[in-house]
Amino acid sequence: MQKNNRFIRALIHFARLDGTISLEEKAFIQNLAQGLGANLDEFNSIWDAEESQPNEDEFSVLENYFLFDTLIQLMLADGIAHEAEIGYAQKIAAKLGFDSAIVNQLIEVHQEKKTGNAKPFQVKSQSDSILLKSLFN
Amino acid sequence: MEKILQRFFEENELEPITIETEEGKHHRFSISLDNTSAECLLEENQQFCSLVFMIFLPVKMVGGQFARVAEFVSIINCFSRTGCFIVDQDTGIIMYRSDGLNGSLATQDYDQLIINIEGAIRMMRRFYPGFMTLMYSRSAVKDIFMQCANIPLTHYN
Repeated sequence: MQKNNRFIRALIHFARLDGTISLEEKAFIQNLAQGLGANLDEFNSIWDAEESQPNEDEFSVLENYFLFDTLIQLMLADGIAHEAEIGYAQKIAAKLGFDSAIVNQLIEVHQEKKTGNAKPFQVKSQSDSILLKSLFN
Repeated sequence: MEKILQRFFEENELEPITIETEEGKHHRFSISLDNTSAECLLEENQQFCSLVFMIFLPVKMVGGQFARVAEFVSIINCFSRTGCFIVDQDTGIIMYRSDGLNGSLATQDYDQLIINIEGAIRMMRRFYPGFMTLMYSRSAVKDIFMQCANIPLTHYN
């Protein structure tokens, strides 16, 4: 399976750990999958595939960071970080080899990004998602 | 220089906060990147006719994180030709400083200014995930550096 599909699959796995995935969360994952080059059919097949736990050494530590960072953005997709979600995020952080303090740091960073007055800066000759795309292709 | 900066801010729809001092002007603004946002400072020094662009990463180190980050920064700076990361030990803030060409060789060209700023942003996009990973995991500094360095950003080619 392509690495970016495995990334999406791992994301879905972790997102389902708290029992539910909201419509906003599903839309977020779908957008990300499309950004990584998956069409709707491919996304649906990943979504409907039998769930399997990602292997511990499936991704490098930097890829694990991208996975976890995306998971935090997913958690904030509905605008609120619930206590239970933070608890799950801390468990996942530990599983991926991170200190639990990373959860609050990333929540702070992404909330600041949403509410702050930062303007997107378009670096010429590249697309927005080039970093993730190139890392997982 | 003033016209160059005015054009830069207008074209990128930035609304900087400008503070004037005896040495020159400091323009502060925020930019939004892949998965974070960062504070930027563009220093305009009239006396030396220089422009210095700095990005403050939204990262603050505490306690034992400093040694690992310092080692990481020293490795990056060995390879960087366009600027350097600076770690402020007192505040725990990490920033990237991209020097314009100082003095008589100062950047007077709009395209050169953009190249400097884009270069600084690329360095941040490449290494910011590395800083975060180093601070919150036990991975070896060398491994993180190699993984960051190998992110194949196409515009590097």
